[in-house]
Amino acid sequence: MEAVRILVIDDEEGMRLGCRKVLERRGFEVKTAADGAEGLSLLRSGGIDLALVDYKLPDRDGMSILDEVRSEGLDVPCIMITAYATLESAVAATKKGAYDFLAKPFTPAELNAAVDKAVEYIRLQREAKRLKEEKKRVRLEFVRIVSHELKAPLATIEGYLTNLLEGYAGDDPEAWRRILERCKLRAEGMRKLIEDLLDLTRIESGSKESRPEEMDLAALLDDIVEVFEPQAERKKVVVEKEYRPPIPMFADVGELRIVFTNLVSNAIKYNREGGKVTVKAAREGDEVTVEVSDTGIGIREEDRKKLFTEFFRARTPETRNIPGSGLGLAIVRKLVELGGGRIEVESEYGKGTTFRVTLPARREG
Amino acid sequence: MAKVMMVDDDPDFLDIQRGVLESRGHEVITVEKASEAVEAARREKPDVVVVDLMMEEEDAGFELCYRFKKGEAGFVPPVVMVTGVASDPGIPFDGGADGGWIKADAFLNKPIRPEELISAVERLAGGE
Ligand SMILES: Nc1ncnc2c1ncn2[C@@H]1O[C@H](COP(=O)(O)OP(=O)(O)O)[C@@H](O)[C@H]1O
Ligand SMILES: [Mg+2]
Repeated sequence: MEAVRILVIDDEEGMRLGCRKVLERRGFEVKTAADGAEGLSLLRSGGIDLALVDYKLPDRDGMSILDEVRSEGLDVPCIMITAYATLESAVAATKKGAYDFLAKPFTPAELNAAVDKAVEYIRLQREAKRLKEEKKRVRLEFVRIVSHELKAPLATIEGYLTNLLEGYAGDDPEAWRRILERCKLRAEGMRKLIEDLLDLTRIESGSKESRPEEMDLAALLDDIVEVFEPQAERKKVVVEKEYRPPIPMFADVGELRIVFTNLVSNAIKYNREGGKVTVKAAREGDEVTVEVSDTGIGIREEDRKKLFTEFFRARTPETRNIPGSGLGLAIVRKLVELGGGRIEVESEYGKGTTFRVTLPARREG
Repeated sequence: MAKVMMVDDDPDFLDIQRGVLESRGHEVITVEKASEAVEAARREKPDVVVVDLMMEEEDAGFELCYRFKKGEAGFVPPVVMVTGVASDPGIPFDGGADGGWIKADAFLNKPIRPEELISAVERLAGGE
């Protein structure tokens, strides 16, 4: 944390010097003021993180400084220095927003203890503020990317439709058909993005409570592979299953479905004609491992690190016509981690990729 | 009839604008990589070049426009810059406030209306 700047407002020179000596030795930056007016003007000019305020100042009551600090929203915690540590004065000071107080005479150790406590408080406040700003930044960035990702396909669709409607597309039905197919592809991409976003927000908001149950992983994988059969066939990709049912687990079926649907979908999407996808699964002790391998386009070394980042999509000649949101693997990783597992990837550009998910066979409550 | 070269990394965008310009009888050459555009222009000698500002890297379009204007293609073609940033949240962009060094001949904002593209291209190509 940056240096903490402390202001000591006290009319006794001995107090000011004493505090300065003790606090500067601790690495604090110390300023002093001999009366309320000087103290307030230093407070107002900013650059003060903590103030030590004498209860009785020549020009004004120390308590009134608390009022000013509060009414002007100066956001500086104040430690009141009191000559008589009565319960009433303590209560009154606390009511006015004093952070703490020190009774005169106090030892350097007492001063340090009070200041340390306040510094810890300031540190926590700064941390909270930083986190809040970071969160805001991340949210804005997210909104910016999402709107861009939605705007791009929409602009394409709009452009093509304008051409069709305003006579810039000729009158060859084949050309029209090609345009409409492009539009459909981009619309599909948008729908997928929105679905992924909904999954992601559900996971992140925590509103999607995990519901583990007794299930058979083999049956789930069978089901997913079956759903993708037509897509695989269209791409002339063979999907092979290497596991022996049943593979009993205690896990959230819905979450696992999202995880393996994404991995199988990618393995087919980023494959080549005539390629192969292999889904392996086995239980070993208290863990279950699932491997989805493909003989597809592979992932370049530099892209591998970014795979699980939201919106990341590799840009290679092979991927350019494959629609996607770049959210699938981010979702997969979140769900795998939520389930107490881990995910690894091995890939060789141009050869193929393997994603390996390891999960506890029995998810804990 | 003009020969128009379009540079953008979005093949759909190129396809759409090609439809627009070809329907007016112009010849269209498309280039998807900013890095290949100068060479392509040297070869093809287009009457007008249309460049998208936001390609692969953030300033590939700016850079390319600058290179055209320096005459790196062996001649200095008129350049239309297409920007998609103006309306993106948080990125203020104003074709006029470009620091003076881009010197594009026309700016078009995405989404481009077909007649805007046609009129910019025909105005600039009309020079010959
Ligand atoms: N099996 C795979 N083979 C090659 N590349 C892959 C594979 N799976 C994912 N990728 C790369 O990782 C990126 C992110 O994947 P993902 O998060 O599922 O998003 P999407 O599939 O929507 O693009 C993909 O765009 C692709 O470039
Ligand atoms: Mg995917």
